[in-house]
Amino acid sequence: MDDNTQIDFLSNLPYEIAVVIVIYADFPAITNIAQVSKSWRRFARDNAVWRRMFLQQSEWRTPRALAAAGCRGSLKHRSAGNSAVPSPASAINTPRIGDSDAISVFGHRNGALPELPARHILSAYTGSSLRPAITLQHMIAPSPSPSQVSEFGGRLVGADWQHLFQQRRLLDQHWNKGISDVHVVAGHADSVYCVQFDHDKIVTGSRDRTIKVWDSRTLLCMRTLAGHDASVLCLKYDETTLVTGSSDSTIIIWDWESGVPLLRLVSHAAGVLDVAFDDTHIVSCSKDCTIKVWERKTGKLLRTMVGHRGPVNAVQLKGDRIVSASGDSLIK
Amino acid sequence: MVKLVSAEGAVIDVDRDIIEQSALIRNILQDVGDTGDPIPVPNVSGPILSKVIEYCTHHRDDLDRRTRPDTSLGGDADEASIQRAIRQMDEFDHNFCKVDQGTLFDIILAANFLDIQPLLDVASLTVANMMKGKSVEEIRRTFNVKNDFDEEEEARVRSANAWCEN
Repeated sequence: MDDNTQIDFLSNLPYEIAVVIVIYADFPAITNIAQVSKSWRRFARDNAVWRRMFLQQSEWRTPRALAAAGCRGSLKHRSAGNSAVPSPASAINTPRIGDSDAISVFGHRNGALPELPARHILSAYTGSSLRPAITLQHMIAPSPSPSQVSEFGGRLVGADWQHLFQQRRLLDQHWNKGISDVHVVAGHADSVYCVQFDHDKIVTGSRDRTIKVWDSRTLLCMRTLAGHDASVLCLKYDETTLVTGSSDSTIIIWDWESGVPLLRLVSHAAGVLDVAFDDTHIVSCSKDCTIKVWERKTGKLLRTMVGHRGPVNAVQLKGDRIVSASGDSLIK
Repeated sequence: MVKLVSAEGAVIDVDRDIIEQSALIRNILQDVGDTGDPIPVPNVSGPILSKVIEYCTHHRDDLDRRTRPDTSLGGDADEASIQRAIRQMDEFDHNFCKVDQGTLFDIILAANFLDIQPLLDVASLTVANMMKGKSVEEIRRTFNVKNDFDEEEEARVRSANAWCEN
């Protein structure tokens, strides 16, 4: 290229053309453009530029998708590894666009300011040498200044795309590097065995025979459910019901509203290691090497499945299938 | 044949189907009819007008460049047209844009004035490519931009951009 003439394209072209040029640049270039000069910085801050940058990230759920979903979404949480399970309560409401892994969504609730993207990891320490506590790690982007997002005619207008991009990118970086805010929540009197959480609450089961419900935001213990005669080994909940399994060989179905045990399912001959349920059935697996299927409404034992030769450690239920994992090294 | 009159007053003949890639000229011809009168293009110099006609002549049969991208299945119109421009930029376009900065600048202005979106896209993309992979200082040198931040501001801008780094 002949470099005899040098022209400051951005400053001398009409504004909208200069913005298009910046839009054609890539992310590293745009961050450099912002540092070139005062007038160049203006272009690198243009909302249209960041909107493009955001939409280009195909794995990111876009606020446009959110708008399509009626702007109902708030934060979504997703499990990482086996440290927590997806919350059935809120995650189902909003259709997800794109096949990517779960993403926090920007949005507002009841006209409140949108919340920052956050993903959480919960870990429960076991083993008597460790202090009985649960640790909450927030994978959250720092500097929680609210971004302005409003909905107009089904389309998001006024979104601060640079802010959205920035927060979302930070969140990715935090996941990749494992940066997190760690909160230690102490309260159980002994080891914590199981956990599930959603936007509002964290539910834990402990060797101290109780289940504790914590406020996700304040991390204060809101409720303690006592009923099992031994360690609470597993738990699952949905909007209406909490199901827990214990080393006292029983399963308790709790009513969320009142916090009282509705039903106690007694049949297993040893500790209940995992539970799963859907609208009609509850499936449990046990150290007694069996899997049992119960009717959710009545607690009636429908079937006992004997297939494993070792304790059945984990079970999941989806549609008409049950998958179980056992100490006999088999998955069925 | 359509007659165009450049900024210097030179008359240039061009086939109607070629120059109708310019939405401006197309609209004039539709509104006024092809009277045979020369159409003045006072914002564009003769050499640049020739370049623009060269581009339009090469792409005279590329009809899909002229239609707006299909967004009936949803999707973002701007994003679609950007993606298409990047995809469609061919070897001719790259070579066509290998000109000095002054010419490239004038081509952008001409494409904007004449409303030839595909040409505006390839020229803009060329400028953007000149920024990619360069440091801040290299960008300044390439485009002869003076750093008008004072030290304090520069430090602030840099720290404001710190989140971009990996």
